[in-house]
Amino acid sequence: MIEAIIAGLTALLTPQALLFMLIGVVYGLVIGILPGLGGVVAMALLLPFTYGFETAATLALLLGAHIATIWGDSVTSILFSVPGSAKGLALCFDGYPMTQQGQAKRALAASATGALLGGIIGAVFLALCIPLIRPVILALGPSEYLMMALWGLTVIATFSEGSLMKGLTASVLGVLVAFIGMDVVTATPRFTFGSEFLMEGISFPVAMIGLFAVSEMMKLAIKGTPIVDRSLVKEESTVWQGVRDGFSHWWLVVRSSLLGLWIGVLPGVGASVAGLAAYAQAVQTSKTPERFGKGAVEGVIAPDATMGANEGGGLMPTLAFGIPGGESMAILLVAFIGLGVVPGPDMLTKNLDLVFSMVWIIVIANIAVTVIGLGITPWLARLPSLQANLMVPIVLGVCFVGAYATRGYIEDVVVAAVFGILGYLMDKYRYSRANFVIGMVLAVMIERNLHISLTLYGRDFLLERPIALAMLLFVLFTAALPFVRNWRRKRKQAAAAGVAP
Amino acid sequence: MMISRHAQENLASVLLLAFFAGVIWMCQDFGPRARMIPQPLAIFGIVLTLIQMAWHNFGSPAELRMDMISVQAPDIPVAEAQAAPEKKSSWRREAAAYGMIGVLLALTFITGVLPAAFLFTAGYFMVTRYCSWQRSLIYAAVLTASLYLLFVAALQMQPYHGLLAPLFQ
Amino acid sequence: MKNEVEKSRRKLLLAGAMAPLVMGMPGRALAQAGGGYYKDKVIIINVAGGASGGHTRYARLLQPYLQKHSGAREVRIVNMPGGGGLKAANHIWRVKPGSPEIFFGNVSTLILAPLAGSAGAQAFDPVKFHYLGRVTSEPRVLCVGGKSAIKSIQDVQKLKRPFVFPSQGTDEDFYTMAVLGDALGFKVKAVTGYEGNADTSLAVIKGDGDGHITGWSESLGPIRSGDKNPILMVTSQPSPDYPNIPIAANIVPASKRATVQAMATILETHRSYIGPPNMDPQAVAAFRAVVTAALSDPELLAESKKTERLVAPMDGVTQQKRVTELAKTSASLAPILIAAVKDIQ
Repeated sequence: MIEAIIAGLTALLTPQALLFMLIGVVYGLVIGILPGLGGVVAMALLLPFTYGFETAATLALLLGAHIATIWGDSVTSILFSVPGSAKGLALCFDGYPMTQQGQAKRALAASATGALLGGIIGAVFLALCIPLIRPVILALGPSEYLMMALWGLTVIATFSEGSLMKGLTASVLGVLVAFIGMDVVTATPRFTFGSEFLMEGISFPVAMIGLFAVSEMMKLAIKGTPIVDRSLVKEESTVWQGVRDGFSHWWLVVRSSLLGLWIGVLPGVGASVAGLAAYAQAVQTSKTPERFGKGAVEGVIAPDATMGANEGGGLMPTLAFGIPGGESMAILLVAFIGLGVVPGPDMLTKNLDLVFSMVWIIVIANIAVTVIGLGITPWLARLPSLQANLMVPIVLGVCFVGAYATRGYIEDVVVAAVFGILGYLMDKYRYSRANFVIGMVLAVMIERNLHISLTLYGRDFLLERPIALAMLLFVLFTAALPFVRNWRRKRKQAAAAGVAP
Repeated sequence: MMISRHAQENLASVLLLAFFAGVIWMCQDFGPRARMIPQPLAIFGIVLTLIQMAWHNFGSPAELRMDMISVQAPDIPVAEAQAAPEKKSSWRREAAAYGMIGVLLALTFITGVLPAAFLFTAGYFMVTRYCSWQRSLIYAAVLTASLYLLFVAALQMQPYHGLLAPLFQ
Repeated sequence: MKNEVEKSRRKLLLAGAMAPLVMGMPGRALAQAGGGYYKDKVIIINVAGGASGGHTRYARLLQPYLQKHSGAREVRIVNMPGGGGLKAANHIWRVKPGSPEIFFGNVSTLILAPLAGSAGAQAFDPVKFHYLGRVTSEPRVLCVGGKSAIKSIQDVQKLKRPFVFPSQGTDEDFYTMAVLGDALGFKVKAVTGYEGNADTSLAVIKGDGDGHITGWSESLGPIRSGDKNPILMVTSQPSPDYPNIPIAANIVPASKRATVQAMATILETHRSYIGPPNMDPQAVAAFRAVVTAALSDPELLAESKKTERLVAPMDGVTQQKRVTELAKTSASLAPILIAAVKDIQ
């Protein structure tokens, strides 16, 4: 194994491989920053360029690009509350409030550090866990995925700013919106009004562009002041602070990374769910859950660490079974075939050095992203203080083009506009937009896996799936934890107040 | 826009009720499995909205804060609170914001995605007097060119040419 | 952001400039197939699927060769994902006369969806499209889990319970399974809602499901490693590598043979170019000739082999005839497909 680790690294240390990784990383950062386009697009567009190069270089280009999109996504979520794709969603919750409070540098640096540490921890554990991968993939199924989605749903309580009723209503709305389109489970078009466009469903990135970016720009246009008014809020944080945050919350980082790794290993559970689950985990294990959603640095570190580790995990079903766990892995599989590499169980025995090459790519690409990221953070952090009259038209212009580019449907521009107005109204009347998108992300996963569980195991599927049952109990426990803690503290405070006079 | 915030909240609730009722009505056309989740969820939505309305109209404000997690006023709305005195004229600005989205949408459909970005940006700079009209055009042109290079040249997006395109063919 | 964008654009352009070098663009041909009908024109290929999908891989493989043999100024690939190809099909059904647009994707969906009465497939009539040539087709294979007690299709027929079939939704494999169940006399319990082939594959390997149907190449890895076991092929020709796997049409009762054969023929229409119903007859003939010429280009064949994108051409005229014949025989499929869809609702 040690030989494989070293062989994997030396294969990478060619000028071509390193150059390709750098190209991949820079390209991935740009794609990540553009709204509406995610890592899949980044990889798909690179694919034609990969035929004919050495294996390590090709993988460095593709994986490097994919990994860089993660932090690229986070950047716009933190600075403008504009998630570049579904993955960046969880970063809006605390990253954007941090920016508003003049802590953009710290947030960006913490996010980059989180992603770096997550990537490295994920890669290390991945290497250690290789023998465990097959049994774990085989042990978990639809019922367990269902529980994972339910866990993501528990974050809702955190975002019910002021009224739990409104918070829940917003999530219900989100879930129902996600059901628009062809229901693949029953081949029924739902809420489509006979429209061919709606059959495809509402594109999640487009809805987010509307709900967050367009509505924030409307607010900005109305207020007429920058996101961060430097005369009121000084940028007081430093890049170094953020880096330190990443390291000082090491235990959170480790937990988040392991979570991300295993979510990545399971096909059918996406990166957007990983980000939410990480966030849920950070809130539920925090001693001060009430700080979340208002600029807690943990809320930035945890999702980034999870997503950093997620990518390594995603490689596993591809390598262990030869079946791609997600769309980006499907692209990687195509590249493998082009290179004459046959993925499958043999990968983990005979081609182990190639597997370690990939592990090294994840590590090195993460380092490259972080170095570049920390380098440009001071400039990026100035963007939110640009004048509203400059910012609004530019961001709106980019968002509309991005909404169109997501799927190439002009109707998506209308969706972005409608969701922009909806987002503005929700914000105004305090119906949480975060809850809406959480509902939207998890709806389909919950519905599909519930149907599959019911068909396969019947109504009492929980009794047949002890792991799922254990997970449900865990979900209930962690969901209740912040409430219990809060109640206890209130009681203590009340007791203290009672004693004082 | 002159209706009170209290009434606006009620209006929002009524709209929500109508929406959920519509969902339930549409669910009647689906098979039992297709409506298994949306229908009960819409009913749940109605219940939530009714409770919200009841509290809003008959409850004390303290009761509205139902969260078990204590919600302190977030730090950000300080700025909003300062803006409160201006609220009276704010509905004009709000209408302008809706109009802005409408104009951009209309431009996109008429002229296509990229020209709309150009026209909108240049127009916005000019209307808000952010800079001189020459500069407005230059900035807008730079933005549009960047968008073209990124989305069309590099990412192979097929641009939408708008309703006017057939006239030029 | 601007700063960073500026910097990286240079890199992007660099990558863009490398593209033709890397892909080894074949030069312009001297003699054009199809009588030079497409010379200096633009051809738009609407690929029924996303940028990462299999259709796109094939469309890109052929793109430079179509250009070479047609003499077209540009062969542009536009991805049109959605509805398992129905979006692109509806689009091509409605294009104006003289449009340079051609559909590229899975023909079997276009034939099966209207038969099953799918929402979104009511608008077009598959017979009226112009079939311009098939690029590839591979046998579809029914696999069971490597550890499953089911070892052969006879075991499936002897099952005392329904055969559990994990599926993404109502795709061609779902319909094929319904037809097989009907012809071989076993009950199928379709479990829909899985997230793609990876998910159904795992369900079968784990034993959550009994078996599923995929393209031959998609299951090759797990078959070789013993994770999956192939028990039946839906095709008209046996595989030279696996001569022992029975072929569906050979083992069904005589009364059902025509139905299963129709299904196999539909599946074999697979990845093809299709023109709109109002396509100019001259253009039809020209494009068919171009596809045939491109698919017999030795350079393409070499590239196809190297990148494991194997081709199995069928010329457009033959394809058109097959589809027209199918329209008559496939009517017997409709009630089976409709019943299968009803079952999951």
